[in-house]
Amino acid sequence: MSGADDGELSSADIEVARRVYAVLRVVSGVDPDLRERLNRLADELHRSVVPHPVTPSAPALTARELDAVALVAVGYKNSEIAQLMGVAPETVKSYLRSAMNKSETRSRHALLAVARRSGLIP
Amino acid sequence: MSGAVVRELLKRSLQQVRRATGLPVVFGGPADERGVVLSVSAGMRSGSLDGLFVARDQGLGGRAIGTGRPVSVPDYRLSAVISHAYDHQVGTEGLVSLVAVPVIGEGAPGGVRAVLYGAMRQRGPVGDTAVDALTAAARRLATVLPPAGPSSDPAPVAGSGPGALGAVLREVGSLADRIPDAATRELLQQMCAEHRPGAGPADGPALSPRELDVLALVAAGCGNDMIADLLGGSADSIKAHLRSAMRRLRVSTRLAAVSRARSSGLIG
Repeated sequence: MSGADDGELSSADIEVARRVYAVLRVVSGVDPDLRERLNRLADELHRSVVPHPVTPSAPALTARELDAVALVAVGYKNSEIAQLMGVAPETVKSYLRSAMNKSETRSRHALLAVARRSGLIP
Repeated sequence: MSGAVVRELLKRSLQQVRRATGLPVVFGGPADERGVVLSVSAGMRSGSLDGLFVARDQGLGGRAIGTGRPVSVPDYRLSAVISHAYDHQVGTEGLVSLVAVPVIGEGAPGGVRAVLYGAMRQRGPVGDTAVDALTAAARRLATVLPPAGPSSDPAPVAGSGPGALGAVLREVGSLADRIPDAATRELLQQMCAEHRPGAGPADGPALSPRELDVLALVAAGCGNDMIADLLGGSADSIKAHLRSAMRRLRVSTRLAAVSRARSSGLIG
């Protein structure tokens, strides 16, 4: 194997993986075959950053809530998230509120800390 | 809080003390009742102390852990109050006058969380200003550092290194052509083309040391008030540094600034 396969991901590598992962999750209007391939790539990105399984105590977020949380985690604003997810900004806010309720957190930062620590998002 | 974040907090606090006091060498690391692992430093020349485990009651740091109080020696080699188990490493680095300050955690479980050191390469007591600055830094860190536990740093697994990530990014880049929405397509193409995993980060904008300190602490999950406490200064001055960093990074949220600074290799 080439040397590039060895070693750990740098912080910069991990951050790019997180960003691509978050956007891949919300790609819309594609055929089922492509959707499946993009899902598999998103999973691989997730696993490359979080090698362990999601911890049992993780809050049970819906797929849409996770979409929003993953985009918040790489710095998108609610309005940008709304655009990427194809929903109204109010809907994004309600996803995040619900995610905070489920994770018993009161800020975006605390929500992200729980989501990352439990392995829900990379 | 991962081990990397703890090290980052220690590093920033020590660098802050070094800038404020002019101490030539500062170092330290996470600790528990058994000892301290020297894992962060600034001003070192030899690397002889990098990664050294200093056991409780051994050397200067071990004594600081044992007594729970700052300990200083004006001349390490001649000191009668410490064991001389680490003379070789300290001598190789050329450190003569040292102080070690334990960070004692607040709340339950109490106990030592880290040890901070300041050092000079000539004889004579480390000044009161420097000891006070280290003690103040230790007190601030005591409120945020968690007790040492099993490290939560992800272990590398086979097939997950930069090579594997590069392959995934190339595949995403090639599949992106088939995404009908222009905005998402271009976003993905750009993200995948810009980054070469393992090749080191691309050049990012230059940020001031202070801006980097603030961003690293935002990344660790600290609010403005806590950052002001840790680095000194007012919450308003912290906000101003953050605004300036966001402008240079061309982003409009705190988290976007953290994300951008990470992917540019500016912070860990």
